[in-house]
Amino acid sequence: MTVQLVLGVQLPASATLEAFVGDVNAEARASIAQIIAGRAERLYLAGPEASGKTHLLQAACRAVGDAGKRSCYLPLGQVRQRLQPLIENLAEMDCVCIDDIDVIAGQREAEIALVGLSDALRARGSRLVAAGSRLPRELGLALPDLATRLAWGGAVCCRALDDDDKIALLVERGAQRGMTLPEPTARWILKHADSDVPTLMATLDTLDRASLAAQRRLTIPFVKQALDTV
Amino acid sequence: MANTLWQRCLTHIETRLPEKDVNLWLRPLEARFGDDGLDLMAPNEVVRDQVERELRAPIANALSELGEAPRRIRVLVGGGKQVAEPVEADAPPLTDTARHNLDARYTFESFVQGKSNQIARAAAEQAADPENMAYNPLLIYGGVGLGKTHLMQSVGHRLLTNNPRARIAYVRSEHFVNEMITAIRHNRMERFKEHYRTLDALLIDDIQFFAGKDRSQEEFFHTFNSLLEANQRIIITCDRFPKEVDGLEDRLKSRFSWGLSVAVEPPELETRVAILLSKAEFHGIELPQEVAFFIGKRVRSNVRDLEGALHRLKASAQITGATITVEFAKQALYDMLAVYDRLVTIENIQKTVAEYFKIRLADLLGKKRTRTIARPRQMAMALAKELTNHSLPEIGQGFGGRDHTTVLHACRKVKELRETDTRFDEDYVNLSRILTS
Repeated sequence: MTVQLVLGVQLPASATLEAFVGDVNAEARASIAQIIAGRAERLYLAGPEASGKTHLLQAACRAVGDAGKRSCYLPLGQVRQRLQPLIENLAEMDCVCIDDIDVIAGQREAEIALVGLSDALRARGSRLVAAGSRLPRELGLALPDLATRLAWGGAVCCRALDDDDKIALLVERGAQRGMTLPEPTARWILKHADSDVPTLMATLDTLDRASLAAQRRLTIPFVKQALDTV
Repeated sequence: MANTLWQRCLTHIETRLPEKDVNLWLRPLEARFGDDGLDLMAPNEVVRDQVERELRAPIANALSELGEAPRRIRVLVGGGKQVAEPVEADAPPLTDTARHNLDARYTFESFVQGKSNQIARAAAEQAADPENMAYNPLLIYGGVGLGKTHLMQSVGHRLLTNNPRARIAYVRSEHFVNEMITAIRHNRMERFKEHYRTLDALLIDDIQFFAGKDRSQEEFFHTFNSLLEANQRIIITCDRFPKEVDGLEDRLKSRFSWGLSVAVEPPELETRVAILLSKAEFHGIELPQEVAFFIGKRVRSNVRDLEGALHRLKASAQITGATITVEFAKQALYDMLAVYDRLVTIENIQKTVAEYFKIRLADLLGKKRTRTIARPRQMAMALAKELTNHSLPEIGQGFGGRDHTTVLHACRKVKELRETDTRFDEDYVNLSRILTS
């Protein structure tokens, strides 16, 4: 297994497809599964922050690496310098996952390098997954050459989960753990805990343990007490 | 233990080097300590070269200060059990340009021909005939995603089929530039020149990226001359006619036009549909013809976007288990089509046409009926009819409250002029390309 990580970026252990939650982005998740399985060669994910793009890119990178292929996750937002030689030398990878495409929009030389990388990967039959805040044509890229290459394998729009999605997610994931989480309690959790999805899942784990230990139902007073003691 | 020592080494170096250098160049390395020294495995040549050049000494110093100085340090390219040959810092190898770099998918057989590309295809077929050097160099130009690279590489494959020992190089222009820079840096220009000047065929893609790179243009100019003098094949692509590329030397522009220049135009509807059906068959997708027409009508700009739509459709159908119908396609491609709708608006068409013909927007929308204003206005109306989903009354409204019959007349007039006036047709095609690319 060789997961090649340019810049020494460490992939979190949770960067797996199994850990990706939220039905609203089921199509993006399924499309990444196709990439991992080698049934698709390229994909573009568009969406705002906290819509799960980074998780999916990292999951693809990790899974392809775990299958013994050379994969790379490249978060452009973290590498503004010396980008060009790095990009040009990823051509030998089996799978390249490029995050934050927005960062290089309008930087002609970096865009040219990405066009070259795209063609080199295609010639080798390697996989390319990229993500940005908008669809390629709307990113403000200097080169239409790059926009068309990014969208070549199809583009999927991801969206961030809203409060109703998150409440539904808490109730559903609670039920999977054998917990009955009433909707008012879920709404209270959302209001009083950090509302990003990984934190909500961690909160659910905490409540699972606390309710088992105390043999209590997940009422708002109990949840408040359980979270206060953490 | 080895990893622990390497981690200690990195921690030590972090106190002496910028964090970004450590993250960028050292963390990707895999350290292997052995009896005879330390092997550092780099993920690629760039990392290896940088470590060899600038970071070997800090690593040696750090290990020495930790009391673990190895007998020697080698920096190699590879990962896992893969071990490359040691590299001498002063002589990194040139990229292996002896390989032709052709994509096996780009052949004449897989190229879908239509009105928009038939001349370019015919020219490419001629250029693939080793006995026929009349079209040398062959320049294929046109917008992005229209099949220039496909045609160029098809020639390469055909030449190789006819002569498997032919020395053919497909190279993107920026790759040529980077190779040259590497050759200069390592004092290996002679080898670089020899390689490129002894080819049987040089296929060089997207020469517009040479713009502004004077030294590369100089070298390419001489390579170009050498190959032509030796009667070797040259094929070039560009995203527009080279004379229109700013920053490209006049003598190069002149050379490019010595042979044959052929344009690849955006595919017309019938070709777009044929491309979709052909690609669908290749990918094993059951694509009803009415769906192909629906996509073909909405996605007009280039072949890559057509393929992108097809891939999206395929994935959505696989995920949902649904049958591909026009309604399904509308849903699956909603986001992509919405972008087209947002980008091609009546206002945008008016602005683009006014700029193209260098007339004032107010005149385009006003009442003047002189030909210099009326023709662009009619063209803008026809483009709005073709490229948007607006009705004739809506378009008339957008052009200063004109009647829908005026728009209808404009569309008919434009159709007639396109058939009789080549210059008018060129302008129309150019504008259509600008608006949809």
